[in-house]
Amino acid sequence: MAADVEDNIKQGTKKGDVVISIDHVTKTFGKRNVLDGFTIDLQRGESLVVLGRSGSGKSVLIKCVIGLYKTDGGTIKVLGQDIENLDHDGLDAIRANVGFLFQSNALYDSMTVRENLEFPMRRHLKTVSVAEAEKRIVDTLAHVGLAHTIDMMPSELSGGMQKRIALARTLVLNPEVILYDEPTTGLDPVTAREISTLMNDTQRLYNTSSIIISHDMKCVEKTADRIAILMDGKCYAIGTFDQLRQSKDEKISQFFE
Amino acid sequence: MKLNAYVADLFGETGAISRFIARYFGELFRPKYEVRQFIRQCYIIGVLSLPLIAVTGFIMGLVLTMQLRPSLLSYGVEAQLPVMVSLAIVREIGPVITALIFAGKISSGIGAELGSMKVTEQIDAMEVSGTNPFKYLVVTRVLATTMMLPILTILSDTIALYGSYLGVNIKGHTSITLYFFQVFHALEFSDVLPAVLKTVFFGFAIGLIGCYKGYNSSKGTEGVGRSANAAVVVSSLLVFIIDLLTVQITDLLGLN
Repeated sequence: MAADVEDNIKQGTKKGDVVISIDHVTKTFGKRNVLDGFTIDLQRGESLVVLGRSGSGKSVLIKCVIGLYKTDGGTIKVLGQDIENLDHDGLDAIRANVGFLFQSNALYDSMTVRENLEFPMRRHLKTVSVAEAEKRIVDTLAHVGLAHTIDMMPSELSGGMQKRIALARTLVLNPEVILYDEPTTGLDPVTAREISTLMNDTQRLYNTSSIIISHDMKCVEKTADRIAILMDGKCYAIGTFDQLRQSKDEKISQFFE
Repeated sequence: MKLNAYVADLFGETGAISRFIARYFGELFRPKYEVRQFIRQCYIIGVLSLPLIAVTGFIMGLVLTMQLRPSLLSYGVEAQLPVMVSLAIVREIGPVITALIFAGKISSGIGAELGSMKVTEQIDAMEVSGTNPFKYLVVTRVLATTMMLPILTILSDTIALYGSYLGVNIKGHTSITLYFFQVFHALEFSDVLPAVLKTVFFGFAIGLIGCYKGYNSSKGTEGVGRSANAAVVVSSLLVFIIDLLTVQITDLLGLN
């Protein structure tokens, strides 16, 4: 099934401009409807920010997109594939093309930076030679400006550096889409701005599309082509930063105060 | 907590552990196999535990001999000291003490490591990276503890017998040849085999509980501490329960 999915991804992504389609998705934890008919599309090359209050289900949404959570209803199509109908190998084929930057970075503590970057390559890209893998690692680390950390352990790096390494780990697979889960949370304003710039550079150089979960309005302003506001499990509003900032709706304007 | 809530929790936890065990066996035999990670875990769990197991084994043999000597002396059977000590060590004390030390070191370590990986999303990251985290983290560790504990127990027993030899010679003189002749003369196959076999179950329980507690950790760093603590407590308790059951079973089979 994985080979079929890979073929469909190649064909599907050439055909249309929508790389991720989220259609009336519902997700419930206990009695709480975290997602209640959320609908949105991510266009090719677009940077879409999902804005919402803490606990509103933003992270749950992108974890549903990558298949870490199963949805209770609705459909999610990633690169033309309905992820709910994919088996484990099919999901892996999708995940090779969709990077995920975790809020906590999720670098493997017991591995060096090199091993952290090698790990997804060894798992997803079995045909990559050792020399090619090494070149990719070195090039990707150079892109995030941390080539000198290649043999360091994650515990030796600052929060901002760990964030860059985590981004490098997603980029090493040359993904078509990157999902960012609060990429600037916990960082000082200068480092947060650097990360936002790096995200824009990555978008441009790697031709990626991205969904960004964030509360950081400076990051949102810098990175967003469109913003979707997630409220009560639904897409409450959608528009550009300027459109939403000028909104008179209190529920929207509260994010921009 | 009310009694009925406690009972419901207990049954819920038992059911969850049962599903965890079923998943373990399901993943254990399904390709692909994480051989490199398994070998790495055998090294971490087995080889790196050896110094601790060796020291405790040696002290166990020495102290047991020194404690037993006055009692045997009062009955005039001091010459039976190697026999008494070897039977006690090989049949019961060696496996149980080694398993408890192992539980304290390994089960808590696994619980804390997997718990920390869970709360920092490393397990999710592993899944996104095209890896089955259950197979990579749980199956390899449980298999390693199951295989390493019997080996460590045999080594611990052997070192304990050397400690005992030293203990015998503190207030007397026995040659090493005579000492081990008496030891091997006293030990039978039915003393060794059930004792080693039960350590397979000890190792399985210790690895499994450590993994279960860590893999299902929640509530941040507080949850990691709780997982590590619960892993030691539950796995130590299970060592005694399994010991009790195996003694009953071997008794029924006429091996005691």
